Amino acid sequence: MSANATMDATGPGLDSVGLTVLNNFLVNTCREMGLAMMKTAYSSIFNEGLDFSCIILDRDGEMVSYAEFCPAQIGAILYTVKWTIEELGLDNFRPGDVVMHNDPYRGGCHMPEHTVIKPVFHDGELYGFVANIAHVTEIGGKAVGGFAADAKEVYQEGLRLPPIKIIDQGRHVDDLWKVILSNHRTPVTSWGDFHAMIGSLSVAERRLHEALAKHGVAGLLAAGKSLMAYSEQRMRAEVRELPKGEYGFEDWIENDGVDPTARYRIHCLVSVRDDDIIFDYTGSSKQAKGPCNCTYGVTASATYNAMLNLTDQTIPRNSGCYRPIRIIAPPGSVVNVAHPGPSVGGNSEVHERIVDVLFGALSAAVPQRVAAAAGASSCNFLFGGRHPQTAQYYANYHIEGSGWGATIGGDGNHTQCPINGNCRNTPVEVFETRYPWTVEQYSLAPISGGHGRTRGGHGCIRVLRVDAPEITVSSFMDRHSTRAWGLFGGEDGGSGALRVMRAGEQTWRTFSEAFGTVSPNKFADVQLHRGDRVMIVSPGGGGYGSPLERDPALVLEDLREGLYDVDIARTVYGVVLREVGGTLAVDAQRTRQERGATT
Amino acid sequence: MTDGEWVELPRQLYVTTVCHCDLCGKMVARRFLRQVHDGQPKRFCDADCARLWQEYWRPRYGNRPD
Amino acid sequence: MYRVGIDSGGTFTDLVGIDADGALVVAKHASTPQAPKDAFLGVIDKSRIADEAIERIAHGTTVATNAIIQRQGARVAFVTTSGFEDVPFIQRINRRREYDLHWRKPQPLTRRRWSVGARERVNANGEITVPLDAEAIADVVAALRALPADEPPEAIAVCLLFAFLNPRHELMLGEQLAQAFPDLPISLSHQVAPIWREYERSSTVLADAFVKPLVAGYCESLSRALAARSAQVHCSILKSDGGTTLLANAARRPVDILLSGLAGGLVGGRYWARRAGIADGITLDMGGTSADVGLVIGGQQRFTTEFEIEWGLPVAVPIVEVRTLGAGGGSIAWVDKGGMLNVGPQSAGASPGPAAYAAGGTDATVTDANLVLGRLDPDYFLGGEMALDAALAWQAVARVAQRVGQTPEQTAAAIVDIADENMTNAIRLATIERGIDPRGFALVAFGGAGPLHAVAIARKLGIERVVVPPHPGLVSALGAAISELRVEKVRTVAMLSDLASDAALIAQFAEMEADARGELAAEGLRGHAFATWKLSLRYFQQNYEQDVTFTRAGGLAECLAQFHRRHAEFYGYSFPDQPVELVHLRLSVYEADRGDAEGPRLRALPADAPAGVRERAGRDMGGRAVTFAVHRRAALPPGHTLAGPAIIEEVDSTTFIPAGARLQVHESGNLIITEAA
Repeated sequence: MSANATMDATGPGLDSVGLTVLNNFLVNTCREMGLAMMKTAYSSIFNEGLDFSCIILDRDGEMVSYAEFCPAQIGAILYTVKWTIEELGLDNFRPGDVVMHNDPYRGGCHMPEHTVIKPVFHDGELYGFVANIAHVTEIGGKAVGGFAADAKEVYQEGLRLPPIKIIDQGRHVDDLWKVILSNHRTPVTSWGDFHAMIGSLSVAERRLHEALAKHGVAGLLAAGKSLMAYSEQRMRAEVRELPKGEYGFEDWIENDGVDPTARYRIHCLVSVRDDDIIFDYTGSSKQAKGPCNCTYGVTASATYNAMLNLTDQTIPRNSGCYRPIRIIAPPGSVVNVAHPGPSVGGNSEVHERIVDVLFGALSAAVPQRVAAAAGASSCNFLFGGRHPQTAQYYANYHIEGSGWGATIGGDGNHTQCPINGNCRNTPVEVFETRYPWTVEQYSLAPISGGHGRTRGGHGCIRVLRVDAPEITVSSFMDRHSTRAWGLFGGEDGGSGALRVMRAGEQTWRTFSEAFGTVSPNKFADVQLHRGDRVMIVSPGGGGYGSPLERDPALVLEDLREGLYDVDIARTVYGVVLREVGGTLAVDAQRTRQERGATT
Repeated sequence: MTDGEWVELPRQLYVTTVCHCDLCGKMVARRFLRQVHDGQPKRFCDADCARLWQEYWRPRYGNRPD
Repeated sequence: MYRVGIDSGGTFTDLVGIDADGALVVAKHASTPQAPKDAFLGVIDKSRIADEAIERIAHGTTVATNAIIQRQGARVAFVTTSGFEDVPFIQRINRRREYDLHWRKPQPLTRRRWSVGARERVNANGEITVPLDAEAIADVVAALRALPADEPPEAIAVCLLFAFLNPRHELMLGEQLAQAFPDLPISLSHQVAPIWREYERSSTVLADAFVKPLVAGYCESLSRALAARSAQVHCSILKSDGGTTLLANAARRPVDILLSGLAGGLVGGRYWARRAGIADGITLDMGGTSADVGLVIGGQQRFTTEFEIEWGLPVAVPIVEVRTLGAGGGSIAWVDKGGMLNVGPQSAGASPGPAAYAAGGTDATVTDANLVLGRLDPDYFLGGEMALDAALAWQAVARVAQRVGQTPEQTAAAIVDIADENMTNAIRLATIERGIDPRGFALVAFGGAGPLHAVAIARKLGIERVVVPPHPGLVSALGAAISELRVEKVRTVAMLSDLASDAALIAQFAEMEADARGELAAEGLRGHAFATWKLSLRYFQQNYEQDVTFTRAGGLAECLAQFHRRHAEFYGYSFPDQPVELVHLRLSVYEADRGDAEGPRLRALPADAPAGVRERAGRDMGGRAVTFAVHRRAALPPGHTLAGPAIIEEVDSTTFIPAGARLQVHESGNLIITEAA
């Protein structure tokens, strides 16, 4: 039967039902892209980690729809595609073209984040674009895995690609592919991953053709604009609901990989106005020498990310959502790096810090919606080398979850992907199959969640042992000396750590102690050898509210679950326990006394 | 102050650096809106940024040269 | 002699019996969730089939499903490789939704304090690098004995790293723990789910242990009750993969029957699809609160190992591929803050139910919308067993209409349309995710609400044929009655294809097949059994596989060719020069299908009293007034045709045929609906 029976009934100029239907269709299309990507990609960071996002944009470069895989990429892709359109010119797209782009100064997040963009035509007329932005593990540069944590210029960070057509009307532009793949350490993996990205575009293009056959270019463009107008109106209503005022907050990045003593301030003044909201980052530190800088795209992504976390989940996600959000990010600062400053860490570590700053600022306005600070280090750990069994060169981008901040209603989750992404971990059995390490431990980090009426989540500990003659590693981690702050009397979470134990030795040391790296947690190109061990500890999240107000029954349960010990129960939570018939129980009376005495 | 004028950026292949909007800091791809305030030239993404500069930035921070 | 299928649903326990000639007996009994055995026995008595006349009973049960959903299973102690005790709690570290600070990770089916480490290690090559010695075992036993006295473990789940490659340590532990804890059931991960990825395997073996005491108890109570009857009755349980397993085996490996209650619908749907001459079908089993979508391809069910108890808690055993979504007659319509209309996933359920049930529900549901559109007869719902209050339905829809600024009739149409669209999207994901284009398929719709929505969904999907089986409400019980003995096996090999040889693969498949045939023989297989062999392939470095059929004649070469071809078809590219990794050998062995042409044919169904054609005023999707012709299904003989708009009513369901569509009654009793020429 004809597929258009219902769609036609709502025709061009769709009513609200037609728009709901179309919005679902478009979101679904983006999800299909994501599934295609997951199923075909070569790198663990894609097929296990899902570090990519899939988007449909109209020919003005406005985002009509996306599937939520990685929030960090969403802001940036708006700018990369708009830039691409402006730089190449709308008239220069042809059916079958694929443009690739990773330039951090032209809207990108950081160099590993590659966007592929394909124009979609209907009857010879350009409708818009399908795009996939994804974290490519190996992009050349001075350090394997794209994280030159001690880089001082973009040129050290890998191969920079302005918007270029790598496929021209269906034909691979071999000269460009040669240049790109010659600059990557793992060209076969890049080849497989790029094709997974491009394949996902084909899947979406096919599906968009169906919608275009029904609605025509003009109809689909108009419907997209209606969806954006709708989302804009919803978001403005959300802004109007926020208590008006100015809210400031700050947090810090602890070093930049180049100067181990420098700290970088992330500051934001949030002004809630009539129906827009200004996020003014003036007052943030000047840009760092090392790569803990954000591109404009990262700062925008982080800002949008925070807003979407604090507003109604049911607003359709498209460019309209962002219109009421105004961002001021001074160029040449840590929140808006100027050429040729390095930026790889901004997207991976600073994004989370920006989101926490905004939660902190708005905790004064909407305390019931925000969370205390999260451990929020992706614990970026990069490594590569020749696999002793296959003799093939491999590279991997490894991340960890960290503890999340508590909210008014619930404890923060233990060990969860930081808020800039939504990646999965790589299973130990996959990890060891692909890479020559033995994982000796993967567990929650004891007592790392901040105490509170609701608790912060615990971070994790991973211990790795080198099972190859040599592995080259790099690291970009944070919150090893700072801590995730608690809110409203909740305590801070525990710091993270990175340690190494060389083969034959018995003590854990920092990389600075063992290898003389300038920074203990942001360094590149360290050679480890068989039997060396690495311990990664991810930070815990902050607590919310005074621990003395935590329900004693929950304290007992925490205790039984081994999240902390009897001493902490008593000294921090003011809960006194006693043994009844071989099991622990709350001593209600003494707990009251204890809590009374402490407050 | 005038409404300003649109200025096209040079497009030589060897120009690989980027310029930014004086209000929001966003990078400018092709053209920007040029306004002059108290003798100082300003570059803006568009009229929206120019307006916000007037109503938010200037009262707060003054007309700083950067 | 009757083959009997008994399906325990939330509201009713249904029975379908088929005799050797294909004659059908049906019976319904109110379900007894507190003691499901009672309704099971009750419905047998109600059917008046004598015990002596029962060849066998196959039973679809939700005992395991409910235990899992309601989290009322055993206290499970978890034993794993030392250093990895937190794996079930850390999970995969991703979140269900990107922008939700208030979401909490799912609680696994154990507690952190019941998680015990064993000093041992197997590496990625399957080699033992840290032997599990007597002391390590003794320490595990001591740790289990030291668990809190008020929470003694009721079952033990063991999952050691890389046990799917080398099970030696799991077997040693299993043996020693059985000696130390003779009263506790023990589940070993390599037996329950020999798969890659430790979290998914842990979660699966935990699920097995979690439901084991309950399922074992239920199976035992059924055995005892059946043994006490006048004649010996052979009874098996429907497995999640659509096959059956003896009561005793279900008790031993209960993870296999987690979706027992859903499988019957898929088996039944496939049967009716085949009877209508359809090889490729999408089954849509839609009831009050949820809709289950399944796939039949080339006359065969699809299987998957990607099932989740809730988001983030996977159970990786072969199940009939089914996607359950919260869309049913009870799905609630609501208006978001911006004035946009939405439907579901919240449901009014069976209680209070739709507004029209007059049981206290005031939310407008899909059922209410269907009533307002004139598609349901308020006096003939469940064959008149339940009266619907059309006025309450109208009021509920009118309240929503006011908020969206439309007439109640337009709003009712919109609610139905959005519900249809939601189901359409779920079907799209269920098909396209597998690389399948739904447009070549027929939509086989049943359950109480499926036939009402089927044609609209088919149109949205570009599907050309809709099939509505006889007695749409009893398809699950029928599925149980005709279910076959079946064994699914998966073996992970994980090797590059150029290292594999046809001879070695054939030897491995043959060994797996011999095991499976042995199991089938123990289950009481009498006749012939078929086997299919499949390879799961992917490009080296990819992490997800595509299954292709392996034949002795074509061997690996043909599999590879097929793999490259499919990759190119779906993703637009292939790498014929790149190494391909061979991940799993997949085997199915199944009894000669009773639904096949040579199997028993079902005779004409018992008829409800024909009532002739009536007319009813209703509304089309634009909210405009139309007149529907209303037919009783039993009055429509095979070969009969009619054009929409029309409504076909029967005791357990209602079929809606919109304008432009045409109905033909197939000789099998199926209704076949296509677009009018």
